[in-house]
Parts: sequence; structure tokens; C-alpha cells
Amino acid sequence: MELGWIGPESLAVCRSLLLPAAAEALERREPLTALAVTEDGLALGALAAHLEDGSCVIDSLYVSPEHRRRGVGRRLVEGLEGLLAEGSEAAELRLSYTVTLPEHEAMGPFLAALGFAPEEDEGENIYFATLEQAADGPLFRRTGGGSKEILPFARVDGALLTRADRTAWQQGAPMARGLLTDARTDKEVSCALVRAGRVEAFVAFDHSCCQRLTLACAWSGAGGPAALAGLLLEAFRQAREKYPPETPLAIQAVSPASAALVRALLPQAVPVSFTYAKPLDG
Amino acid sequence: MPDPEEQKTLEQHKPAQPVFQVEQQQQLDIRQELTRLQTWELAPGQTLEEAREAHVQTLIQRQQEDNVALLARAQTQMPQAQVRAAAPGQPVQQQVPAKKTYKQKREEAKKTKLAKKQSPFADHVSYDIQRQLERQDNGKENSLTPQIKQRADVEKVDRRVLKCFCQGYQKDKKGNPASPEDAQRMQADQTFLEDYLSKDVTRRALHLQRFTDELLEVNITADLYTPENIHQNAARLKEIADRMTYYENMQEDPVNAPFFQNMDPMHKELLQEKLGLLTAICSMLTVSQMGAMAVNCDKAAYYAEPEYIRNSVQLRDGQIPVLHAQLAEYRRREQEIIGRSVEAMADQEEAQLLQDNQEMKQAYEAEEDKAGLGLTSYTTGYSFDELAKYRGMIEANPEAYAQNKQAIDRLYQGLHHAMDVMGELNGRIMAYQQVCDSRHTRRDRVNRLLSSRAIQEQERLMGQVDQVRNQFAAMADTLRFYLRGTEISAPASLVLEREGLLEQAKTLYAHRQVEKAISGPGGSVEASNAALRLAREKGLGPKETESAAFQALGVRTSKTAAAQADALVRGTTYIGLPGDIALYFADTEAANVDYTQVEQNMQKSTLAGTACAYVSGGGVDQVNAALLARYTRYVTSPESITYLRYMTQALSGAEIFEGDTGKTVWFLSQALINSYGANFTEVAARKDSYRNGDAVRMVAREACRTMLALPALTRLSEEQRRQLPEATQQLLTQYEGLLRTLTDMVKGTGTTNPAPSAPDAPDEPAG
Repeated sequence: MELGWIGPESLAVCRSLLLPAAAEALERREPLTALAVTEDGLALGALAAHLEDGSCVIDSLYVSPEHRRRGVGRRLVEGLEGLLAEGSEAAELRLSYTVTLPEHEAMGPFLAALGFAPEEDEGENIYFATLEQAADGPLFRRTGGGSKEILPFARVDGALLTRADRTAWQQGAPMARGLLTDARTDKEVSCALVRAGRVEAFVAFDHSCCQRLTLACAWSGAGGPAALAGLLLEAFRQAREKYPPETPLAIQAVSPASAALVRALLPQAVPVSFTYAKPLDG
Repeated sequence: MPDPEEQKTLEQHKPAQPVFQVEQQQQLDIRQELTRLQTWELAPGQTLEEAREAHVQTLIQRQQEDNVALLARAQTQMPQAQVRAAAPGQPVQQQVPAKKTYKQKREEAKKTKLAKKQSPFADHVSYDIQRQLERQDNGKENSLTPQIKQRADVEKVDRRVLKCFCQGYQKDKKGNPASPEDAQRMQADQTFLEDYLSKDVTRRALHLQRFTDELLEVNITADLYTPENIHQNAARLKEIADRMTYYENMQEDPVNAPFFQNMDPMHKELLQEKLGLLTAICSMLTVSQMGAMAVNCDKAAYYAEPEYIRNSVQLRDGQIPVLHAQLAEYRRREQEIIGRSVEAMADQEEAQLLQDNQEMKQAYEAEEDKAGLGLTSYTTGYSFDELAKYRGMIEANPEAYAQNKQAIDRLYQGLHHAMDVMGELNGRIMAYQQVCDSRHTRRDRVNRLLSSRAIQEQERLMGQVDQVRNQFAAMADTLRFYLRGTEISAPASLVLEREGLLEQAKTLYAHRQVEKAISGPGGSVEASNAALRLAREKGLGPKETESAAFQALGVRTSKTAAAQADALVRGTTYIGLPGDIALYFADTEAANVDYTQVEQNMQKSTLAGTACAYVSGGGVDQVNAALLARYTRYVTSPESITYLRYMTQALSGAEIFEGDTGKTVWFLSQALINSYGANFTEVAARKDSYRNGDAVRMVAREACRTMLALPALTRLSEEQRRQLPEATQQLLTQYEGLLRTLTDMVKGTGTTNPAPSAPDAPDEPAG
């Protein structure tokens, strides 16, 4: 087996062994370092990485299933480590992945065997659960009727949503511009707190994460963090009417506060995104 | 100069400072040092704000530089991966936690902030485009050293051409190429510049060829000019536009004239069309698209004034449809040029193939059975073998040929022409194949276009070859029919129909079958004669003897070869009779004949000692007469007489008939009545269409059985006849008259009736 760097000619062949985003970046001639392990001209596995803020981030690491357990992955990672040892651009190697398929579960043990350790994410993660698990959570043990000020998006004036979208985005809400009015946003499940002709807080759901019902953004705005609980309660009520209990959920937590909220409201939710890091001797 | 010893003494006698004062002093020193560092070392004329911006840029760029350095290290320390294939498997794009896209947003916000310092209308996209253009420009400037520029001016070489066609390279902080790739580009540029400045066309030629190949290779599509692609590939698109523009400058340089004059005409034409149709629009769209994103493409700078951006947007919107139109026109012209070139190449190949083919043809024509076949086009051994085979077949069957000369002559000519045409098509297909073989290993775009056009033409001609081959096969089938008496296959029947020979061929075939199964050696006539002799030897009675002889003739028994041959000769002559019978009942019932009454009132009788049954009375006699009239019409038609005449002749060797035409006619008529006249299945099938279906069916059945009995009734003695009902006697008399008429007609002494196509007025039974 040989280790080599992937140039423009070999990229066309090795493309299938790289994640699409990494392959496209290489095609755009971005300075990613891409390596491949070959045997008699057959590429068995590939890696792509770049330097960022003092770390070397592995963007793509994949070995053909037929050639696993042969040390190909190890060869790739150690090859990269060897290159980094010559310079002083990075203090650590990092790799992030999300477990959406069974084969992803092998990544953790593999990285641990190479000396990587999982990082604490401070809750900034993607959480998977089901609607049924949400129903079992403390949120639904709250009694009391819903607030008349909390409405599904489908019943909120489009102009209000547009304005709220702009305000939230400008205030740095972790969302794509236009989320509230996007056709792909689930207008029956997403809910807004409307007071005095303004949307003061909202929770927006779509199916953007692995086609699960995804909490794409929770913004408390003028409503304050306390508004979120009521919004989520109403949203999950609407979701239970629309979808069966086994409907899978995904929630992206973008801050420690939102992560804490997720854990409190959905204790059964499991984080599925992991980052492993390995310090580099240097 | 102070005395060192004295200085030392003085130092020794200085009073010691307290510790905290020393520490304080140290802190102040450090503080001062740190404060000193808290300054921006501004370059001459640089403002504080500019210094801060430059630093932010550095921070952004540093990461880029680190990545470049890491990649360069990989390229130096490791071999490039040599791959021909990838093992199976593909990673699935993972969902990324939101914090990552959040990070990306922060990056974009940084870039937007920097860009907005230059233009309030710029954003992170403008930043990326401007940086790409600037980097490319700087890279090229690195290659165009002051000495090069000076030489260019002295030699009067257009500097813009030099800059445009340099690759450019990036430098590190020490001024050296930033990576091994950059070093290679620098070397390449130096070579190009030296060669180009030499003004020696032989030295320039390699570079000119490279630029020509590149322009021929670049595939201009509308997708290149989307905002997304402009964002990702701004530098490349500007380079394409510039090279298209300055290539024309190169073409106008008299030093380069020999190169362009000797260029392959097809490449010249393709380039002419490409540059003529696309240079202007590509350049304009590059400029306007980048201008719409607040970047001045030519200066790698930002547009700060809104009117430039507005104008760019308007221009861009107007230019996009123009690009589409120009591209469509270019594609059309490109295909024309490629098409013409492929034809010209194929002509050359074909000429060579024909030349090489002559030797083979001569060798074949030296063989006796293949000499003189007169094939004019590209010929293969297959062509010779096939045509020789059919020529040989004709020669081996002179009798059949003589009997069907006109048809066979036309068929043979058809075969010859088809084979010649196939040869020509195959020759052309081979020529296209040669064109394809000579091109497909070259991976550049033009050769791929030529190769695929050659394949297209090949496939078109292969379709034609298939059609001609099918026609050849059909004609060969037809020839085999004439010469060897094989069945008329479906393809052969199409050929015969086209030639107007189908009916004649069917008759010929039928006659051949009759000869084989009935009249010829080993046929049923021989069998009948043998059966007759045997029956006589055994001393069987006349009826049994006759029955044995008739049985052995096989004409009346379905599924024998003789019956099938007889059916072939008969064709469709009588096929309408059962339907006519059914129609008769429908018409008469519509004219208010009550068949329930007829059924109830008719009398059924059986001929003693036989199974022959007949009916009379109650109105059924009119039915019997009508059925016989219909039978008469069919059986006296010209087609029927032709059939009877032929079959009489075929059966003439059967001793049971004793050479008596009348007996043979009687026998054949009996077979006909069995098959058609007694066939009331049509009535039964249409039972539900009658008012009294059951009654009609019963009456039809009995009337048809009466018809069936007629041949047997002709054998009655006079006394037996007198015992028949009057109407039945009349019927019998009519039938016997019919037989006599038929016999005369078969002998050629009677006249035929017209075809039994015109319907009669319904005959109404009385009662």
C-alpha cells in the first residue's frame, strides 16, 4: 500500500472516496491537503484536511468498506500527522462527525485507537429524539391551557413573519435568512408569540436535518427565554396532531444555554454529533 | 576615561536599594516595554485604520497561507497518488452541527466588513472575487519582471499578451515561489516569456499550440456565468475572457503568421467561430456580472459608486439572453464543422479501403463460382459467398428458372443490388470506424466531438444496412420458394406482393403441394389405387371398395397432406358460403318468416341403410332450395371452376373414377358440400341475433343436413327416388343438373357464372 497526495488528475478517480463538500473544495483548487492510500493503482481510502485556528481539521476520512481493518485509515491519519510534525501550524488534530448511519458508529472506537479523545461539546450538538419521547418529557407534564398569544405560523400574518425574520437575523439568531417564510418551514408546527402586532419570539421547525422534524431555530427575542417553553409546548402539541408518535426529531443546540434547554425538556434526546481531538507533539 | 578600578570602588560604596523599589522598577520597565509594543508601526503614508484593515486581512490570509504551506509540504514529501480506479463505496454527506455554519457566517461577516470599507455595496462575495482577481494579477506581475517589461517595450511585443498568457505564481515572504507548484509555474512562465520575446516563430510555436489547444478545449456554457460560478471561479473566468481577446492579438502578430497559416483548417475554422461568436459576449458578461457584485474586474478593485453597479446589473440582464443565443449558434456551427470534417476524413479512409479492397476482390473473382458477379462497391467475402450461392441455386434449377423466369430475374437483380448497396454502406461504416479509432485515444474536446460524430454516422448507416439486409433475406427466401418449393415465408410474401406476384406464387405453391401429396409419386392417388386393388382382391362389395378408395385419396379427411394441399388450391373460393347461409336466415326472419312454425311442421326422414337425413314440408323446402341456390352460385363461379378443373386433372390418375370427369366432379362436390354447404356453424354462432334463435338453428341444421345428403341421394335407384317427397325429388334433380353443368364447365364445354358476391333477395318460404 502506498500513501500519496491527491492531485487534479487523481481527484477525478478519488472523488468517490471523499465527502462531496471536500471534493468540491478541491475542485475549486482550495488549499486542502488531500491524501490517498492506493494499492496497485486502486484507491482504497482518502482523507482531506485543512488548518483552522491552530487546529488541523479533518474534513473527510473514508475507507472503502471492502478494505477496512487493513490499516488504511491509520495510514492516512498518521501520514497527515507526519506532515504536521514538520511545521508548527497546528497544535491538534480534530475530526467531527454525526452519527446518522450505523457505519458512523465505528468512527468513535477507531479514533480512540489512534489516540483521539472525545471533546466536550458544552452541549452545542445535534440531538435526536422522537415525538413520543418529547411527549414523555417534563414539558408535557405541565398543565394548563395554551396561551392565545402563541399561534402556529400558518395563522400568523405573513408580513409579521417577514419582519420578525429580518429582526431575528439582524440580532444574530442562528438561522438562515428567510427561514420563517420559507416554503420548507413546517407552518403547522412552527409557532410564534404575537403581542401587540409583533412577533416577539418563535420556534421554527423544518425537515432539514436528515429529513427529521427539525427545530431549526428557537429565538426568544423580546419575549425572553421564558417564552420558549410555552412556544415549544404548543409546537410539540401541534406536531403530535400532525405526525405519528414515532416521528423522529432533530434539534440543533448552538449555545450552552440552548443545549441546557434541550436536555431539560427532552431528557431522552441523545447527542449525535461528536468531535474528537488529538494533541500533536510539537 | 574613568579608571575601571575607581569605578568598581565607587559602585561598591553605593548604598543598596530596598527590594520593593527594585521590584517596582522592574514592573515599570516591563510596563514600558509592553506599552512600547502597543503601537502600530505604520508604513509611510499609512493611516491607523489602514494598518488595522491590513492586519485583519493578514489574519484571514494567514490561514490560507498555512494551508498552502501544508499542501506544499505534502507535495514535496510524498509522491502524487497514481490511481486508475477507486475501490467501491462512497461516504454520505453528514449533517453538520449548526455551530459550524455559524462559524462560516462569522467568516463571511469579517469579509463583508472589510469589503464594505472599500464599497458600501460590497459583501463577502465581492471580497472573494476581488481577492481572486488580485491574487491572479499579482501572480502574473511576479512573472513580468521589470526586465521582461523593458525587453517587451524594446522588442515591441504587446505586454498585455505576455501578461495574459502567463500562468503567474505566488511568492512567499522571502520572495521565492510559495510552493513547488508555484516554482514550476515560474519556470514555465520564464520559458514562455523568453521564447515569445525572441520573436522566433519556431520558439513560439509550442506555446502558441498550447494556447490554441486550450481555447479549443474550453467548453463555454451558460452555467459558467452564474453568480455562484463567478464567485467560485472569478479568476479563471477572467483569464478565459482575456485569452480569447488576446489570442486575436496573437493572430494579428506578423511573427506568428507561419504558425496560423499552417494550422489545421478545421481547428482554424472552429476557433474562428468560437472567438467570433463568443469573445465579446463572454468578456462583457464577465465584466458586468462581477460589476453587479461591486467588483471592477479589470482593476481587481471595488465599485464604490452605485451607478456603476446599477449599470452592470442592467447590462448583465441584457447580456444573458445574448449569451444563450450566441452559444446556440456556436453549437450549431461547431456541429456543421465537425460534421464536414468527419465526412472528409471518412472520404479519405474510404478511398484507401477501396484501394486495399481491390486485391481481395481480384482473389475472389479468380474463383470460378465467384467470377463475374459484378459487385462494384466495397466487397467482403460474405458478399461474394452469398451472391454466388444464389446464383448457383438458380443455375442448379434450370426448370424452375424457366417456369418462373421473369420473377426470378427480378429477384436476382434485387439480390445483386442489395448486396452492392450493403457493400457500399459497409465500406462507409468501416471508414467512420477508422476515423473513430484514430481519434478516440486523444482525449481533447475536438477529437471527442469528431469521434462521437463518427459513431453517430456509423449508427445511422448501420440502421440502413439492417434494412437492406432484411430485404436481401426476404428476396432470398422468395428465390428459395421458386427454386426449391419451400413455403412462402412472411418476408417473401411481402416481396411477392410488392412485385404483384403473390397470388400467382400462392397458386404455384398450392399446385406443388398437390403434386407432392396427391398426384405425384407416392401421393394419395397411388395410395387410392393400391387400396382399390386390395379391396377387390379381398372381395369387398362395391360400396366398401369405393369407400376404401375414396378414403385413401385423403381429400375428404381433414389434416392429411392431401386435404391440406386441396385446401391450398381451394383458397378462399368458398369461404363466404356459411356466412351467406346465416344471412339468408336473418333476411328471411326479418321478412317475417316464422321459423318456429317451420321447425314444428317440417318432416324429417332418413335414407334407409344410411345415415343420410333430409327434411321436407312445413316451408323447409324453400329453405333447401335457397341453400342449394347459394351453393350453386359459389360452385359455378370462375374461381370454383378453376379449382375443380385443376383438381379433376390431379385426381385423373385415380382408378376409382375410371377416367370419368363426371364422377370426379361428383366426388369433389361432395367434399365441398361437406366443408361448406353443410356448415351451419355461422348460424349457430349468430343464434342470439335471430328472433327465434333456437328454431332458426334447428331448421338450418336440418336444411344443411339435407344438402349433405344430396350426393348420397344421387345414388338412389329410380324406385327409391319416387319414394322421396316431391320437393326433395325436385331438389335432387336440381343438384344433379348442377353436377352436369359443372362437369361440362370443367371440360370446357359450359359457361361460368359471375362471382357469388352479389346478395340475392331473400327467398321466403311459404307458410
